[in-house]
Amino acid sequence: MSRQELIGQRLPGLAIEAIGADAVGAYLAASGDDNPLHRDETLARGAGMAGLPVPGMLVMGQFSRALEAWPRCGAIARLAARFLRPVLFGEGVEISGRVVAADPASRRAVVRLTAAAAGKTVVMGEAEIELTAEF
Amino acid sequence: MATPAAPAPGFRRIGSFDVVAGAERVARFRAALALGGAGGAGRGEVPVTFPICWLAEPAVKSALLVALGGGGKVPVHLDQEMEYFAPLRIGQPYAMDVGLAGPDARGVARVRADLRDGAGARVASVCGSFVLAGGKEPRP
Repeated sequence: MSRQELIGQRLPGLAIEAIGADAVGAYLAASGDDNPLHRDETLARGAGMAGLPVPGMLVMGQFSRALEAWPRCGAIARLAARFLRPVLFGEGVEISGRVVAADPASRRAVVRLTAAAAGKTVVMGEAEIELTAEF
Repeated sequence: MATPAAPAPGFRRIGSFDVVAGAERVARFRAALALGGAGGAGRGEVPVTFPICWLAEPAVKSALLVALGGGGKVPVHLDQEMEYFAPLRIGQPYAMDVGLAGPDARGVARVRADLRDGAGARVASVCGSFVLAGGKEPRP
């Protein structure tokens, strides 16, 4: 695959159905995150949210899941995310990604990532990855 | 473990903490993200976002909360970045140097953690921004 063919290529989409209390609870337990914001709705509303928010890192973790599912992705050298608005308990998320830059010399590519909920972008991300094959 | 590194410019030192990615915890973390089994050939065996677990360790968190002086407010995550210079390995000890910048006038603080292996080589850098929210002050 040439550099030109690689740039613009889309990762396989990843759709996560409603992220419920069980999934959030499993993530909070595994990560050690005990921020009451994810458990106390009054507190969450006091912080300006419309309900209990899913941890942003759970959504960011889905970026790595989408990358790992792409056969051309080797190691992830960098992953960044900007949390634009909270994903609330019960909302589903769709992850998409597109290659925006590629460097044959280093065999690395930059992938722009997006998480959307209810049709709105909720998290924007970017990854720098090592590709599994030369191009 | 090696001598703690100087904090990155703009950050004040919170502390240096010894951390290990235990196999069982990594497996639970992978499962919670639905990441499946091992990362596969050429991929890191420790998930890229796993270091966030170390920032949630009680000793690290309490040191950060004292430095933040949140006064009952809760941190709301604004952004996060993980950069790797080498893959993390299960069972290998690392030194995690944690630094804090802010909070600024908007209540935004940045937490940075630099991970080094036993030889002192830099393995990863983790940096995130938070705003302290709740109480009487609305989220910006």
